[in-house]
Amino acid sequence: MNDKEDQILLEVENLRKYFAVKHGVLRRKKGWLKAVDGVSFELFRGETLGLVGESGCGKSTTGRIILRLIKPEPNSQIFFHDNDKVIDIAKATPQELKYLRTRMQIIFQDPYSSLNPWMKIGEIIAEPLLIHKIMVGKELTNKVHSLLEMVGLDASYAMRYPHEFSGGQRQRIGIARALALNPTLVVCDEPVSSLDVSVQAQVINLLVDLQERLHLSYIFIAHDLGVVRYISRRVAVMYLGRIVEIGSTEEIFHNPAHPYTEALLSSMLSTDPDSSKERLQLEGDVPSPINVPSGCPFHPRCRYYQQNKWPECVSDIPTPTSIYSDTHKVSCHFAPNLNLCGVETEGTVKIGVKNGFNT
Amino acid sequence: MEHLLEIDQLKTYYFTDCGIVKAVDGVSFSVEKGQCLGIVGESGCGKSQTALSIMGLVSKPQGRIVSGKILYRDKKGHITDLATLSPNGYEYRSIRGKEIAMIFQEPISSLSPVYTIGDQIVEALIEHTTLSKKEATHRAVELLKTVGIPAAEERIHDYPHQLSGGMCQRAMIAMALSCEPRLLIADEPTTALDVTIQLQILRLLKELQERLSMGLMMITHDLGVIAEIADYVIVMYLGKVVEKGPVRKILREPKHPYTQGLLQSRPSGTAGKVRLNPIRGVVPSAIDPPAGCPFSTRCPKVLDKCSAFPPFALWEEGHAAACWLYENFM
Ligand SMILES: Nc1ncnc2c1ncn2[C@@H]1O[C@H](COP(=O)(O)OP(=O)(O)OP(=O)(O)O)[C@@H](O)[C@H]1O
Ligand SMILES: Nc1ncnc2c1ncn2[C@@H]1O[C@H](COP(=O)(O)OP(=O)(O)OP(=O)(O)O)[C@@H](O)[C@H]1O
Ligand code: SF4
Ligand SMILES: [Mg+2]
Ligand SMILES: [Mg+2]
Repeated sequence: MNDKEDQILLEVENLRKYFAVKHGVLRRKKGWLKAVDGVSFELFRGETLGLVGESGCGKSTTGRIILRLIKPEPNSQIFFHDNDKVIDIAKATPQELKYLRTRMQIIFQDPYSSLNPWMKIGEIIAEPLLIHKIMVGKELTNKVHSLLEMVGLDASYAMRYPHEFSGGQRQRIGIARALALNPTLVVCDEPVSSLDVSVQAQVINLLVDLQERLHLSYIFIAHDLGVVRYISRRVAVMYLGRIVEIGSTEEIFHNPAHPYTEALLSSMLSTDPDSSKERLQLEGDVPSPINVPSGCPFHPRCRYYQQNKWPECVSDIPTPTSIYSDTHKVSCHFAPNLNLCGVETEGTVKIGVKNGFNT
Repeated sequence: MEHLLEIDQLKTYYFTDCGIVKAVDGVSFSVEKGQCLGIVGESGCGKSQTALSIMGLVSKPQGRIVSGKILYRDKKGHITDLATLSPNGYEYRSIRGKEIAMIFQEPISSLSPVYTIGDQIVEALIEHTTLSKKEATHRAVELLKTVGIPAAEERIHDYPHQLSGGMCQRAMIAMALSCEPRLLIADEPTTALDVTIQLQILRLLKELQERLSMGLMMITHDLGVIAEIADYVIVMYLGKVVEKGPVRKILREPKHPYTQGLLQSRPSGTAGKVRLNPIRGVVPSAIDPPAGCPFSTRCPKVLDKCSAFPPFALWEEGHAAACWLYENFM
């Protein structure tokens, strides 16, 4: 790991986003849906941070706030450390926003709907360069061609329309467009989820190559833990709008400290037909972010709470605390007492308290 | 063995303006009682069309079963060739949904949004069984409990949109199971779900298959799902079966370069130090497939003779691959 990798690019502090919703049978009750509720993390230059968690836990919302496609609640802070200055994305002025749009980009999940079917590939890729008045004419044409080649497509494709391309090719076009303005940060929101495995592998290789060449930082959102483990240097696990655990990929996969992470890892499928038939099965669905359970939001589904009925789990919200190392943080009152199972970890799952209560 | 279902040289084609799409092009396999057959392959290889052909639901007027047999063996041991039945005739309707049920790829679209899930299951029960309305309601609650829906007595009054994705999927399974089918076809039943819910559903299907001694056909593009649930596997590519065999053989000793490629493209282990090894190129169009081995345009080991269609090479336990690299042909 060189110095450059340890330079902070992004500092996210206490990120919140509440949506006003009507709910109940008659849709008359007003309430707040806490899509993101106090998320804090750092992103270093040139690294990939994986963001995982069940559907609806707030991954996309987090990504979209960072890009300021939506505005966070007041008091949220997102410090973007650019070459010589620091900009708080949450409070950016329109002028700063315009500048930030050239520094940050997003790649979406669906390569079918994210490209305008009426525009030629060349026009789609050139659009951001034209909007920001970066270049025109021959220079622009050359840039588009070199972007196409960079993502492994033929320059002649510039004259064709999206429907003429396969899913993997369209995803490459989306990547070329995202890279047109030389961003430093790219939020990849499920970039390979809709692709077949063999195509998925091509796109992942491309993302890894481009990161090395252009020193990009990725926030990589995905629910396929195999893909996240492969591509990420660090991983953040979200549950109901919060990060419940964050650490290096190694730490998260081999030494998980949060019961939710353990359950998530245990549901990872492998291609070994004899692999751990002894899986921990997480019962129940994700609760609604409108009625977040009291205390630890995971307690209704937590097997350790179910066994021990610790009152703290219901009364107090756990805060992120370092465990095992400085880089590894977990939000669970009893994490130091639990002995959890990671992937490929030897031995059986030990249930309950290892060292008695913490006081 | 007396197969529950035997497919023989099935061909289902679509006659479109751009040409003939050979969606299913000479597929043969069988499903046994109490066994899970996994069908795996990339998008567009014909998995769903194979299933829809069995259900008699190929979309008219463009689509048609052009040849082949779909032999179904009923409780009494009678064998019927479903391919010869009229899809809307009495005979098919007494089998479809009753003896052979299917969980469709898009869960929401097969549950009606305007009826409660309870009503939909009750209706299916009344249509296919002799139960009274009251008995059917009772049975619907039982079924929802079987598939792990908590507070089922209350949930039967919910509309599909009031349920989460995983719950909807379970309601679909309950509906498919309502008439105790002898064969259940599940078309990507967990693709849209979270990994934690996916595991719950797979466990549930496996348990039901074993307990009810049902035949289960699991369609997926995910080899992880196959490893979790299948006993026997067929691998499809461009409308054809390229490899088949017991799950351990397919996953541990894949013979066909396509199956090998699929296994190698899956990321395994930690952080990107080893480059992934994807299959090069893209799947050719089903309208204009390559002559000979369908995989020949992308195969890293392609030979001259691959321009002719390879027969199946055979190994022990019925493991077979259609590939010219081997010489142990039948
Ligand atoms: N514009 C909106 N109005 C109201 N609720 C919203 C809005 N956008 C998102 N939500 C809700 O916020 C929560 C978080 O959504 P988000 O899309 O961030 O989840 P996610 O983790 O990306 O899930 P998935 O894996 O399904 O993409 C969900 O409950 C969602 O329904
Ligand atoms: N109504 C139709 N008209 C023309 N072609 C069709 C029609 N329905 C399916 N096809 C074609 O038949 C082929 C097989 O499709 P099928 O839906 O069986 O694929 P699949 O293996 O289920 O893929 P997926 O994993 O994407 O569901 C494809 O080439 C598809 O384009
Ligand atoms: S705080 Fe309690 S309920 Fe929450 S994860 Fe830890 S043990 Fe489980
Ligand atoms: Mg999302
Ligand atoms: Mg399909």
